[in-house]
Amino acid sequence: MSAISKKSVWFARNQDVIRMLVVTLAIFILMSALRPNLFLREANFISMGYQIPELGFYSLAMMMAMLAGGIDLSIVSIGNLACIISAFIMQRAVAGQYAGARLAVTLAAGVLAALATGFICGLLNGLLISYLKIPPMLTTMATSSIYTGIGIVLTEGKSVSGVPDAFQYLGNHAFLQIPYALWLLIAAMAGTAFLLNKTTFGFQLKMIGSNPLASFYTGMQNKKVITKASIYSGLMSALCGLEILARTNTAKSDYAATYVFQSILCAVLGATNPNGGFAKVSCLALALASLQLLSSGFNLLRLGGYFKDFTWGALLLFVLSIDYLAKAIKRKKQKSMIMKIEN
Amino acid sequence: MLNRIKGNSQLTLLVLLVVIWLVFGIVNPQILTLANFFSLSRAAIVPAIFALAEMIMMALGCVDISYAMIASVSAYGTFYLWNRNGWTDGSIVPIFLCAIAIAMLLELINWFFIDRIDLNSFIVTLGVQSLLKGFLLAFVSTAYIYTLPSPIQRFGLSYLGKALSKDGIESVLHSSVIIVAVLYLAMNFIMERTKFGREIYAIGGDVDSARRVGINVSRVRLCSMLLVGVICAIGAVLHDALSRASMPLPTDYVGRELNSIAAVVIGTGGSKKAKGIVTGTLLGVLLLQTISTNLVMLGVPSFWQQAVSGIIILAGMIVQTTNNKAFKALK
Repeated sequence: MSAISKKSVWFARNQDVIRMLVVTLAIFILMSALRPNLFLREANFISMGYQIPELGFYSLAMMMAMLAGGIDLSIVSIGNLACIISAFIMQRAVAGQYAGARLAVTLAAGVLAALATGFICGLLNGLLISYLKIPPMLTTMATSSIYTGIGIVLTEGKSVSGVPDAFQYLGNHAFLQIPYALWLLIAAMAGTAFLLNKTTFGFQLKMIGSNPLASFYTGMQNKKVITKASIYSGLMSALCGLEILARTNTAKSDYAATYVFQSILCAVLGATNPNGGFAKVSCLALALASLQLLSSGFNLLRLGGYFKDFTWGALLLFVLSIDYLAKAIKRKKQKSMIMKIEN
Repeated sequence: MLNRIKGNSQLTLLVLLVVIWLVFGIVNPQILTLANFFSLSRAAIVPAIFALAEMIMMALGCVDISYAMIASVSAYGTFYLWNRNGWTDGSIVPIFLCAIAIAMLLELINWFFIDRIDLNSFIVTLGVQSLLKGFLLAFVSTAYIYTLPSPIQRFGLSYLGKALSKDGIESVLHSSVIIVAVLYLAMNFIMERTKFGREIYAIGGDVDSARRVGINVSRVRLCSMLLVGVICAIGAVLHDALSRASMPLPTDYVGRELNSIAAVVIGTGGSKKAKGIVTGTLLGVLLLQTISTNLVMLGVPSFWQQAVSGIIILAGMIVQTTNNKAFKALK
């Protein structure tokens, strides 16, 4: 008896992960069956490994914002701004033909400047959301426009390129067959999982996301925690900006604005509750993998980008509805149980 | 006097608008000419209609970012149909009716997910936007349509009045400002004077309370989303008539949903009762359009425009939402 209930508890706790695992495997098998000789090649998986990190960092940033009960539409703008500022600093190393320690210092300065940009942008978002009480969606829509605008002013609308080869090496090479950027993403995901599950901050963030008023009355400092979560989003976005700079050697203010939608899709697909309070990093990782498999598969099937928009939109609506339907069925069952007991 | 202005957000906004016009006029006297006001009105026609659609959704307590894509599908679909069948003559009415029918059908998707499945409106409309964009461009067509039906072409060139600017450039007051005026008057009547309008505000205030006082929430949501469909279809057809071409992805309004949302937020202001007011929305649109169309005439470099308009939108939101309790509930 106790063994069965233990098992069912385990299933109930991990049902999101199991569902996502099934979806990922299903997509993998489907794509392998449709294009076996192209899809199952090593080169395909290596190229996927280079494509995953960008969306991965942005999805982590989005997940953090959603966990606090908000949304962050400025992640891509922060990433691009960080990318531009760091590119300006790193350009000097190429222009001055720095080498050795001087090169290392310049690269470190570039990375730090990017992270500082992410920190400041995230802090501004957080202050506006928690202290001035402007709804997160409106705040980040407006700040997104400002950050993009600052990027345009700095670059005069052009793209910036020419970072040192040493930095580009990190974006285009792999260690143990796994690209450096993917290692960084894995580390960031592990760090986030630790932060959410093992620290006071993570616990408070989840509680505030699910019920801000109750958390406030239990003595949590809602404003500080939400601001910290915003800063975390900003830092993740800045990391993504650095990854883009290392991989593509260009910084542009309007690069890849569609990542905002994709990261929302990825976060929601990865069991993040858009109303706040619940998120799972393992689910996010699986959602990321399944989206990448789907998108690589579509490319191999020669279906255009617009087809991808169509399926991803459909997928988002479908996944959201599944959650609802499952809950509705559960509620009905519980209701009938209660009725039986009462009778 | 000062307290009255402070207390009434609409009046504050009107005063602000006049002050901005005067300041701009001092910097560049050209801005205060009739010709410039005519071109401002032309630039504001389409944003004003879309902001009205967004206002209804925000009054319902939703945030809609799919309206632009729904509008685009309705107008492009209609002109695609007309073009394919070679219908070049005839009246303007069936074109509007066809676009409205398409938009109303598409709004049903929004209604189903927002009302029936009870999902977060922002994320639903985000999904619907992507779905429709993919559908239109992958399965219908990506080509621009330059030969619009002749009644639409004639309508696009019609005007009520003319004015010459100092450089001799002619500006006209386009006749569709009448349509905008009629829409705003009708919506103002519906929102302020009918039971239906009050029910919309009640739902936007608190869905559960609205249900408990006996409002049929589903029906009100359905009717108002269909109304949003009607309004955005009209806006899209007018947009195509004004730009003399129909495109599947009009980048001047798809992807710029922020501007409508900002207009509603700035326009609604300190009002404690509602998340969307008709007159305020119009003032909000005029304010944003005044700033964005005149930045060039003020000598602001073009690459500064996005940052400047972002800062202005943020400032407006800070001023208007900090004293509006209703917005705090909106996630």
